[in-house]
Amino acid sequence: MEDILQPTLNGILLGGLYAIIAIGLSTIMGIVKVMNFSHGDLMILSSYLSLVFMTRLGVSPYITFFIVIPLMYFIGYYFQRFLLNRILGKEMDPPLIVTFGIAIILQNLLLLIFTPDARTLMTGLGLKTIFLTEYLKIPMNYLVDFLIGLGVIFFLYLFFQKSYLGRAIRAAADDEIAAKLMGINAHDIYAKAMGIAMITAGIAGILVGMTFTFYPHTGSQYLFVAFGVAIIAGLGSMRGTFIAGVILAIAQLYGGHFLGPGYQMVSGHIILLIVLLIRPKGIFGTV
Amino acid sequence: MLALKVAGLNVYYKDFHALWDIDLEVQDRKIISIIGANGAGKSTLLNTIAGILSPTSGYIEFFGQRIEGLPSYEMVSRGLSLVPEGRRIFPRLSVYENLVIGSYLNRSKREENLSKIYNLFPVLRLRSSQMGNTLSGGEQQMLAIGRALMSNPKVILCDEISLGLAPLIIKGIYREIKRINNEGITVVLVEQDITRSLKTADYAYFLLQGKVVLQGPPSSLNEEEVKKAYFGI
Repeated sequence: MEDILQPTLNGILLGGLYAIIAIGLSTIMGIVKVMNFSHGDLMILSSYLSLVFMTRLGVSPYITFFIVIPLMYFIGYYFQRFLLNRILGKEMDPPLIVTFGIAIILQNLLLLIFTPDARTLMTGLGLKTIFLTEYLKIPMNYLVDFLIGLGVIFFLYLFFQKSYLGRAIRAAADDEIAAKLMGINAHDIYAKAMGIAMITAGIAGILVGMTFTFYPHTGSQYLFVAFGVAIIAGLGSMRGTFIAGVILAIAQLYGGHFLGPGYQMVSGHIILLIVLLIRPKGIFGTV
Repeated sequence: MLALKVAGLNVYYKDFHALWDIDLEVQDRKIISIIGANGAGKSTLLNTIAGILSPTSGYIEFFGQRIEGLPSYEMVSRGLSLVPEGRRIFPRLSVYENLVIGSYLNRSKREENLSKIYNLFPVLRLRSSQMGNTLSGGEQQMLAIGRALMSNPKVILCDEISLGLAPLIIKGIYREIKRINNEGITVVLVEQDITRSLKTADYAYFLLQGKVVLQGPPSSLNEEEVKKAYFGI
């Protein structure tokens, strides 16, 4: 019993981080109907941005949230406005190719600037744990990831339900032409939605940097996590994204714990396949 | 005063010439009807005025200002609202949210407009927390009209608002259209239902195969002319 408690607890906590990694990707898939293959790399870009501000300004990674988040919003806004909006609505392929291209460019840029060395955003939290029992402990950095992930998803939910902009984004996702007839500039709305998605990617990137090591090529690894969570959850449910994050994280940690580290990713893939077989639109999908 | 003036308007769908040299005038605070059979070009005309389609040639004036080719969200800010064919209710937004989205560019008058619309269509207040796609056809049509009114338009364009509705519901909706007009809003109706259109409108245009073939105040049109303009025979 004790054997299963620790990976379960870690999985639940890590699920909060997985949810915030995925929420931006899933939001853009639901609203703009674009699969952003550069989501993971943009996320890792924010880890590196945080690293730069941390070293240059000599501040803690927490302070860099305040610089990186607005920066990521503008990166997302202009990425959508000047690149993706121009190729929307024609065919499925162009946005895929563009986002894939951006992913490759970003990876190579990061490699050129930062070298392939492993980096991390040191907070000191990685060394701290809270012991619940002799065998069961909460890693502090996982707890921080979980709480921030939960907070971001809750805030995002309120934003989409209660604000004018959130409602306008949902309206444009439902019916672009009808939204335009309400006075909504759909392309501007898409750019803002991408900006918001990049805010979540920015937060996720810093949290990932504070929890694990990262390299210029780590983005694709997290793209898999984001896709995995989005597929398990389905589109259109914030709560679903959070729970799916927990499911994927637990599956991976069980695989790693019981079968060996090599099985961590495989067990995540197996859960994905099962969901795709039983319920292709995701467990909580409304779209 | 002219609310809307359309002159020499030509619209194409790729190679298909859908509207031919359309001239049309709408006096402020009046109700005009654009009548025609299926495929006559009525919706194309409204969609072009509302900015969903762009004309190839000709112009559109809204209270003396040229507006052709402007995007539809720009039209709304100028006071031109379209109730689209098929209603196009946002299915995953509640009735209340559908109405609130209508006031996207006119937020300061949101509560005032909301209570006006709830008075006009009391059933919408009862259904306010329901999702848009759970309403009946008639209720959805009321919601589509209410949503268009939330932006405080000077002119409202209504595309086939009676389509697929029971006669009693249509009667009620047309009564409210009269009420909306009495409050000073110009109404442009597109309809296939000749009798009801002529009964409601101050002036009517008949479209046939993309051309205006007959126009005038309903009282001045005789049955033979109307039949010929509608059926083309």
